[in-house]
Amino acid sequence: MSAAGGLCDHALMARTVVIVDDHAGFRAEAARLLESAGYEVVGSCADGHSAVVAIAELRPDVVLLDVQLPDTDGFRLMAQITVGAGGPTVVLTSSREAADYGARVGMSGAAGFITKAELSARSLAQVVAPR
Amino acid sequence: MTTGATLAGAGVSPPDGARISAPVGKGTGPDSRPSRLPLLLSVVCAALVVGGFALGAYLANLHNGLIAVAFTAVGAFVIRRRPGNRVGWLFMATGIAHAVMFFGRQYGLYSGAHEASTLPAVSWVTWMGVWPLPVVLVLTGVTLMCFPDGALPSPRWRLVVAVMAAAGALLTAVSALWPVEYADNSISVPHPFDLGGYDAVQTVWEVAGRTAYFLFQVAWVTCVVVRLRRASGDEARQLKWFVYAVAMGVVAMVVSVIAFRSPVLGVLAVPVIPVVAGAAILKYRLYDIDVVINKTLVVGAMAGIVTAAYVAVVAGAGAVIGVSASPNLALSLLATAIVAVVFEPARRRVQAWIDRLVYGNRPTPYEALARLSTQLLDGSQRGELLAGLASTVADGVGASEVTLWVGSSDDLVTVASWPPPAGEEKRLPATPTDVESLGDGGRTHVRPILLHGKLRGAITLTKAPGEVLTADEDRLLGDLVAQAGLVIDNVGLGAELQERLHQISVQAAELRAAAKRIVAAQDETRRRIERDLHDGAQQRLVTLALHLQAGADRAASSGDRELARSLEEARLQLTEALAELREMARGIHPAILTQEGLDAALHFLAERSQLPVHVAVTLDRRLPQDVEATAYFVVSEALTNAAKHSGASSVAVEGRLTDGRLLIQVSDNGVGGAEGRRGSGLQGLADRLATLDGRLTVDSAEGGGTRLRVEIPCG
Repeated sequence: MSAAGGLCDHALMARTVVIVDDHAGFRAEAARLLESAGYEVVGSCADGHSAVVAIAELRPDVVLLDVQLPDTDGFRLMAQITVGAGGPTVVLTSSREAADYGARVGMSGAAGFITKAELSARSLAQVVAPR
Repeated sequence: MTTGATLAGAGVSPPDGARISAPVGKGTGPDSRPSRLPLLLSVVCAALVVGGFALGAYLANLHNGLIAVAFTAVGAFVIRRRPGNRVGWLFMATGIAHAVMFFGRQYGLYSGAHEASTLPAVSWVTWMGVWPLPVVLVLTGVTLMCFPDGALPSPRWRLVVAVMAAAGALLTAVSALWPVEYADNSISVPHPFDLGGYDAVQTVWEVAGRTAYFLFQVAWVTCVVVRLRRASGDEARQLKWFVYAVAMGVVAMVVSVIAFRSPVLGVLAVPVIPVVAGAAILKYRLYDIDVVINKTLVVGAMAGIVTAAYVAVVAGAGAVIGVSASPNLALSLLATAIVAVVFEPARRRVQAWIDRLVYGNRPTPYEALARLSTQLLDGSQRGELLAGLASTVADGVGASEVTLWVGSSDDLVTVASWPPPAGEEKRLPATPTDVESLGDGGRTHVRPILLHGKLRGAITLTKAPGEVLTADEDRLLGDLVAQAGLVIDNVGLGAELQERLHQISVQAAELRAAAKRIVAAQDETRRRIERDLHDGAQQRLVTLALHLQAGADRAASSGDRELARSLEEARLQLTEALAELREMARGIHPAILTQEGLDAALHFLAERSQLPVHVAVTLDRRLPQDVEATAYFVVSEALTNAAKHSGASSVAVEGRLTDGRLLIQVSDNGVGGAEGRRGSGLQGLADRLATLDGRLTVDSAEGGGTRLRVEIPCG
């Protein structure tokens, strides 16, 4: 458990997060879950367009990005923002599994993928750990 | 020289009807050179016969010379035209044997007639002309038994031939040792051996020899009769020619003996038999035989009736009125008048009677043509007319199967066939065929029916293997095809059928479109259910899971470990339920297929399969949704089957686009034998494929793995 503890320590450094998802219920639960784990949820967006604006403005450390959005999808949205090297670490999420999206997840440039039901402080910390 | 087999092959032409039959026996192909043996033997025969005739003409030996020349010549000709037919060689052997006997006997007859002759070795050469007779008779009999195809009618006849050969050999040996045949053949020169006991041997010979000769005749006549009864088509016609020639030979012999008190006329008729037999093998104007027999019988019967009537009037009336044997002009005139009056009615009756005798209820081909025209004018029943046309073609060209098609080049349907379809099959298939496919099913000849330059139908026929269409049959077929065009036109079948075909194809297109719509609607429904599951129930449950997670976290931090564990437990169960729900949603319709396309979806299937799956799929574009979905479900089913039943250790999935068609192949290295297991999942998919004009083939030999191929046109 020492490794997990280390990661938690890292996460406790008050990282900022923007949540992008069209389901308000999910956004609220995810925000509560992450904040209780020490993340600072600085923004939450319901569609791709407002997400691009918010990310540019808020410059979060992490973006929790739903694949399926009303106006676009997570993969396309990633092409519109700068990822890594000054940009945010992007974690894709969906109620489907990564395999349902074939090779696109691997090629997207996202740090990882978390099935929504599996979302927790620990699973997020595992994905956003420095690569 | 072209072989019989190649000729038969040349008769099978592509169904464009361009060239139906090859000219019979004209080729000198480069592959096999003609044997010189027939020519050599012909020269030997000619030398023996010419040499024999140089010694004079003897009635007792004339038939041997004629038989030698006729059989050798016909044999050589048949060998040249039909090297594959053994009858040619049998004729040749028969001819040469007779040539040898002819020469030997001429030699003996000449020496017997010329006391002062100084020919050398007279007794030996003459002997050569006499003793082979029994074995030559057997040879001649076997030749006739093997007519016309060179083989005995059945293997059982081999026993008969063996007995004949044994008896012939025994008799030949006796004849070689004692002069038992000398007196019968007017030979007066001495026999080369003097073994004694001649009288006893001659007594036995009188009984045994003649009985054997008689039985030889019985054997070959029986054989020909048996063959004639079993034969059909061309063989029956060949045999009829032969029997006709033999019958005419017998008539000539009887007339010759009765009228001229000499067998010369009959003997001169002998060469006709091999000549006619040879012509029959080469099938010259073969279908006319019934007409020839018919006319011969009518002429013969009328000659008999006229003679009888004349004799009856002249002799009978003369006796009654007491006129003596001297010719009486009045009576002759009366007889002539009576004969003239009754001739035509009698001829018609005889003709009708003989027609029934020769043809049964079947007309001659040309009569059928004439009858067809009459039926047309009478307005006969259409079905009758068409069936009559089919049977006329079959009779005329000796086909084993004939089908009459009507329609356009894309849509041809069967309207009549011969032999007539029986019972259940009475309703002819309504599935239209195009003109290119008519040659399928072993049909050897396809003739398009053209009218005013437009294709209106076709006649297809099948001849027995090895049979070709002779020039005459070809011509007759041409006439019948021309008539068929008129028949179709006159009965208005063309227009009505076109209309019906049009309706059928419109209905078929509608049905197909409907089926396609149903499948598409079904797919759409499944996609919607999957999406609804994802957007609705799944999202709520996911939120619930997170809620439970948060609750568990809070309970843990407030120290209520039991509540925390209970909430965590609930969350885990919910996560499992969600995983099941996802799996179910994928089964309804895989999201990856909608979003990523077939290529990605097949890789996804491969990753999730229980067996190692090698995927080689290259598609450079997205395909129509229904095509993608169908291909996906086929591969999914195939992989499931491979994992469940095949015992395979690996599976390969290949896919590519070729000429606007999607080709998918799933092959495994398992136990095969999947045909028997078909029917469940794959049948449903085959139906689905049919709505897309797709094709599914399963190749699964026992022990040879299973290979499933799908082909779907996708524009």
